[in-house]
Amino acid sequence: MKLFFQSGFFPQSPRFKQFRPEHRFGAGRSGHAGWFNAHISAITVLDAELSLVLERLGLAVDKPSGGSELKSVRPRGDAMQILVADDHDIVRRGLKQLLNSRPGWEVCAEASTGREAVALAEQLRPKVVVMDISMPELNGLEAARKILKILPKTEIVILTLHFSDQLVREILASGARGYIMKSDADRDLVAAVEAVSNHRSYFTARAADMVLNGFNAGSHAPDPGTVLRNRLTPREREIVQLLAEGKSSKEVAVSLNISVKTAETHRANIMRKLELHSVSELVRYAVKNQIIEA
Amino acid sequence: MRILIADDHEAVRKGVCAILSSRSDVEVCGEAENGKETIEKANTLKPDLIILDITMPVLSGFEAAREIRKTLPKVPILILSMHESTQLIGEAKKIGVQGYVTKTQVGSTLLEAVDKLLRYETFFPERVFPPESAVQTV
Repeated sequence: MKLFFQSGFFPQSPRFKQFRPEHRFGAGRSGHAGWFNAHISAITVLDAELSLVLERLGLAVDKPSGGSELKSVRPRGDAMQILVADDHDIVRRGLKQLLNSRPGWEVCAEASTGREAVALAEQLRPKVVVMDISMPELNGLEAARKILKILPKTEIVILTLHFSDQLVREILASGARGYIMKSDADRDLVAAVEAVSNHRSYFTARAADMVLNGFNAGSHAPDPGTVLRNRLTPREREIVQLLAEGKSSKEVAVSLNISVKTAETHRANIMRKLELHSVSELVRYAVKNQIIEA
Repeated sequence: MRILIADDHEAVRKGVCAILSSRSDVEVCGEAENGKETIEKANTLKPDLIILDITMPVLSGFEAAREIRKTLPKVPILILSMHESTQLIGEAKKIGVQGYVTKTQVGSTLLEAVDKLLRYETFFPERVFPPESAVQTV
């Protein structure tokens, strides 16, 4: 069953402002919550204020996509919850459709940046996060590290466009257990999510071969770029991406809720540790190390 | 109205299908993963509209569009591209396609673009994009 609520469905009264989850679907009237979860697959909300109310009812509210004002809301049932993160709306929609078509799986939310993925993961605690590696503000690898720090039992599948043994190593180091190419998503996505949800690793055959060949050839020594990058703290790696995306120290400070002076100190430390002397060198470094896309 | 979707990434094709599924008057009659397959399916299925990615294996979207223009000159073609590039939009117009939407804005613009092309109008981004220093793909 799908419900469509519009603005004005609920009375706009002072009492309504004090509406709390237990009034309708909470433990005190558990029958309502049970009926809701059993009968309603989704609600489409046409009103921002109403969506906030539904969030207060304990329902997961998807973020609006593609500039649309619509938000879809799903009850939290027994389905395996999956968070999808990609900066392209069209890819998120496709991934969502591929994943939702599996019985017992449900995409509980979508994120368009790494930072948003971390916040939604913390809020919704999904079992699996399927995440693009290249996202603005915070890339997939840094987001994976942050999510796993907060939710060590959550499993992460990284999606990439490009392929290299160095990237496979970076992904392994981030703690993600799954790595698939976007172009192979039709073949590998379901298998990868299935594997990681059982706490097993999943790497496409090409990735597995590459890592194996690399190790066999004795080429597993990290490259100089990785050695330099490992000198950075997680916060500094975040700031590298923001600076490479063209943000000023002031914008970095606002974005991370730190003082401008702190941002400038981080910036100076980054340049020293990476042995760089200008922003253009930093951008080149970020592109070369796939922190941002060219 | 029958639409053929061509993109080498299934996630993108499924995303386009998801957007189009909100319209009862539109049917996805086929999907193609590369330019060659797009030409073959276009000639076989004779769709009312083709949604075409630029960066595809075997034969690019632009090359496929050139071929399709020869055999099905009246079928509107909508380019679905990762690139916000004035140069590519100019190239698309030169080939004779009727529309261009970027993948970053497809969620909000696809249905409008499809409607316009099915009315034999055109749909191109209004703003002028700066030249790209490098090419990205999705």
